[in-house]
Amino acid sequence: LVLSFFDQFLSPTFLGIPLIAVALALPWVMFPALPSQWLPNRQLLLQSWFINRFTQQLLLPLNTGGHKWALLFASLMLFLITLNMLGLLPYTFTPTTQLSLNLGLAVPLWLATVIIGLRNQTTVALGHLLPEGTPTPLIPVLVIIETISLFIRPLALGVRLTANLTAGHLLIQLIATAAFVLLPLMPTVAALTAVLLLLLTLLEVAVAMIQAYVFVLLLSLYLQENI
Amino acid sequence: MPQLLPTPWFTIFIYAWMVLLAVIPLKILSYVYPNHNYLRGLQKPSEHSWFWPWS
Repeated sequence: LVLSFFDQFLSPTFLGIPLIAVALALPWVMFPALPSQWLPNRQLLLQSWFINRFTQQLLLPLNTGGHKWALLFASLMLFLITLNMLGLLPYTFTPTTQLSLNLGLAVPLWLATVIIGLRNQTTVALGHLLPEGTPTPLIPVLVIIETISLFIRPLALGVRLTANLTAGHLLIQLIATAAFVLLPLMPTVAALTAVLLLLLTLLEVAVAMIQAYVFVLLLSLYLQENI
Repeated sequence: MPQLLPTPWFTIFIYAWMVLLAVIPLKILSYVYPNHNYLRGLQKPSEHSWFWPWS
């Protein structure tokens, strides 16, 4: 059995248990429910501050109808950022590298925004397909282009997250393998590769947080267009 | 690419949505924010106006 670098993304099973179920179920023990105290402990305070401020910032451009989505957006953000960050630890599996999960989140949520827009304000939603001030001969072409761009949105949303995280994990594995293999041969080069690996890991931490944020932000923008 | 194997796709989809709908919102809703802001209204503004040395 020849292992390739992509095998880290195979949905792993251990003793017949699909580990992705464990990876999806366990991280939420890190967010305990608040006790009925006036002032919680430091961890709970930081978590509640994060959720509060994030939701406030995200909901700023949305009108009152969009505020119904606050809980969903906060849940989605917590879901994605926790899974992304925990996946950077060694020997963990990142469920968000699975295209099934990301598309499974992106397509229904995008479709929900589109259906809400078409149901409540059909003319405005259809009007998004033609930018204002288009010269008349260009109208048919532009409608086609805007329709294609509308349908590409869920694909882009899902694939962006998958690709970013997959690429990051692959790079980490490649460079770590390189550093490890070079260690007996050329120790100096191996040390430089290790420094590169450290910088890459820092980048991946940033990417993990940013990609989760971008996912939720884009969904809120799609909602803002349609609500 | 193992992500493109269709076998666990539906399972992963269902699991992810179950976690997103059943587990996380309950945890988020438990973060309540007791309103400290009423204490700010009790503070009276300072009665001394600002002192400008040239006026």
